[in-house]
Amino acid sequence: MINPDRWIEKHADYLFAYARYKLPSKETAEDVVQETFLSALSAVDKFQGKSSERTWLVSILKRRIVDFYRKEARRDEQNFSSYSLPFHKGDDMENHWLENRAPKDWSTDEKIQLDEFHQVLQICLSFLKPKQRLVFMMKILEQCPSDEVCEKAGISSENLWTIMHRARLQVRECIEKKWL
Amino acid sequence: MKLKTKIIKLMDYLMLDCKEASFLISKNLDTNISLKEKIQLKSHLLYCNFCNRYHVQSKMIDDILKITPEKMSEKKLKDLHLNKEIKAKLKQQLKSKKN
Repeated sequence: MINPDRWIEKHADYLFAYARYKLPSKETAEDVVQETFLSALSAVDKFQGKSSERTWLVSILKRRIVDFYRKEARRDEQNFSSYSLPFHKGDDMENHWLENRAPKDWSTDEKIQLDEFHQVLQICLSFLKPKQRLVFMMKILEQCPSDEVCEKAGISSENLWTIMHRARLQVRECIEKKWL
Repeated sequence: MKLKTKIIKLMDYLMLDCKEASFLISKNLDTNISLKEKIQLKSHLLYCNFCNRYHVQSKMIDDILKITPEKMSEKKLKDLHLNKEIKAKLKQQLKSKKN
């Protein structure tokens, strides 16, 4: 039997921890967790008990996280410059990494601080074109290709792998520039 | 077929350029790649330092975005709790919405 009265005690911290590094900041994670509980309450009749309460709440949480990126994706794409791939083009080193843009060694003696790395990662995610970032996060959260947004946007599997590939190249490069 | 030709054909089959390899590294994070693609990728990673780094680094990025509380340390989880005031506010909201 589902019991909303105990939801906060049982699941709030878990949902917050789950959402924290999928969103830009602590504050956005707090907002999204709140939205999750409120929409869960509205949808409580639809909960059929096929999964656990927590699993059900997490699935709602994932959709609210995607909604955050969906809202951001409505923003104008004009201010986002195109990303050129870091490979040689048109010369005899075609498709090899460009020397000054090839991956450097990230290993350090100290343990990488999660919060610090996450901050840089989120800044770099914000440089992706909004629609691309939306698709990227949807795939990360496994809401794509199943979600109708991906279907409607006509994103075929091949498209999706290409979008993900370019996004990862761009984000990785940005992190390296800021990190090292 | 001459041995030399066979070897060249095999190398052609196996050898990816870095753009292709990085694509497969990325695709492998999202879906299953074919056996052929796995062999080609592993072969490339035997000799390409840059792509090996790319492999490690893109996995790191994915891992952080996909992290779940189950994978976090106790110490980390202690830090990551939802603000008390927000919890109280939420409890109120849920109560009033229910009625």
